[in-house]
Amino acid sequence: MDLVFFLSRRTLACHHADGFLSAMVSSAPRPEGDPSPADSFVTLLSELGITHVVTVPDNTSAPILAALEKPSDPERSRREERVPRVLYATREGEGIGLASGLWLGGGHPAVLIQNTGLLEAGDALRGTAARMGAPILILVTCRGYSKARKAGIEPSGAPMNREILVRSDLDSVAHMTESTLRAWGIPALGLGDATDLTPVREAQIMAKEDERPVAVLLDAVFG
Amino acid sequence: MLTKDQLLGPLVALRKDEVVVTSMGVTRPWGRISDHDLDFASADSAMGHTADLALGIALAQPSRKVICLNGDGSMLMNLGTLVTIVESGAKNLVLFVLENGRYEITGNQPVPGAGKVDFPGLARAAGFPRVYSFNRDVGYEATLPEILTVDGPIFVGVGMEKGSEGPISRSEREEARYLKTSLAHCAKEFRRAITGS
Repeated sequence: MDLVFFLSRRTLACHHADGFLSAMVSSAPRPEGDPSPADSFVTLLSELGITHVVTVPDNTSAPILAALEKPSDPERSRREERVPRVLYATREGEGIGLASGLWLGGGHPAVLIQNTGLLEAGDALRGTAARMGAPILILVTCRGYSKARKAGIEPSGAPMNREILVRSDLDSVAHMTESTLRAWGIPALGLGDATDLTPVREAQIMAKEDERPVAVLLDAVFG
Repeated sequence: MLTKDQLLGPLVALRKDEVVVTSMGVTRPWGRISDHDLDFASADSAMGHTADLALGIALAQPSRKVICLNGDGSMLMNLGTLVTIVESGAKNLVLFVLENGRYEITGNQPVPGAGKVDFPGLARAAGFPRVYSFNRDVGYEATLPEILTVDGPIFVGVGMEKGSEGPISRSEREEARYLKTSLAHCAKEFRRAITGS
């Protein structure tokens, strides 16, 4: 597949209809005994064969990391459960290099970072994972997206001008995340509902088929 | 100070099935004396990521020793990796930092803090359980078997003579096999070699 940027129609539809739909869906009470969105996310990563999750944490990824590091079922070892190992990096670019090395060594890593850290990781992503053709899942949490919608602005649709950069009620990173990924040639899928993890599965398939890193924008609440 | 020959000669003689990851100014000299499927050149333009890349390989292959030949300029770009390495518990990683005080391949400009930064001291402060330091070839060759055998992570600081390697390309013009083809091709071949599939 050529350099194409993907944002799922499902996600866009949610955003246009109601900017807070994803949060509402995620925070709705779930039947007792049902896995949390974060638990389901971890289960999916295991099913996809992800061996390591390299991360610099933030508030959105915190429930996922808590689920990844939850004490194991005493009846089953972590190895049997195939829960990915969490590796904390000191900065996001280091995390991308680390994940690229994990892939070189035969692993199947994912990177879990905030969109601010994605910007920090630009040259690492370009010069290691992308140039290696490493099929690494880049899971990006979306700082500033809620603020943008509260202000009535679709994050990917705002013009990048001085007003967007300096407004105190906005977080400028939200308005450059998707265009930056597009400029870097990294395909991205949007995930706007924490109960529907289809974009993660699709991204993993795309990464393997196209032999390249693929991003998933986690624009949802997992706690 | 050691020359590159003094550093690399004993290493290539002892090397068996260890991974060797090279960076910048040492990439060509290593490639001239070694032609191994588990050599990997981290000399493309994402400078500063040789140590984290090597750590990733070490964590994916915990039963195989991984030797990283990093430069001081590259190390300075990612000093946090010293901490990440220790925190990861990678016992199979040997991190060399070749201290020539120069950005060699861009014209030997001085790196910040050249001659003042105590890299072995930084490694100790980051928690490396074993730290070696060599500023002359005395003792290096005799200690190398121990360095390649004991559990790590291991840090080896080496004072190096000024070199004169120029910019590195990936092309047929390069002498070293691991620089003759694209990074993507080398990465795929390396992964195939290390996983056996």
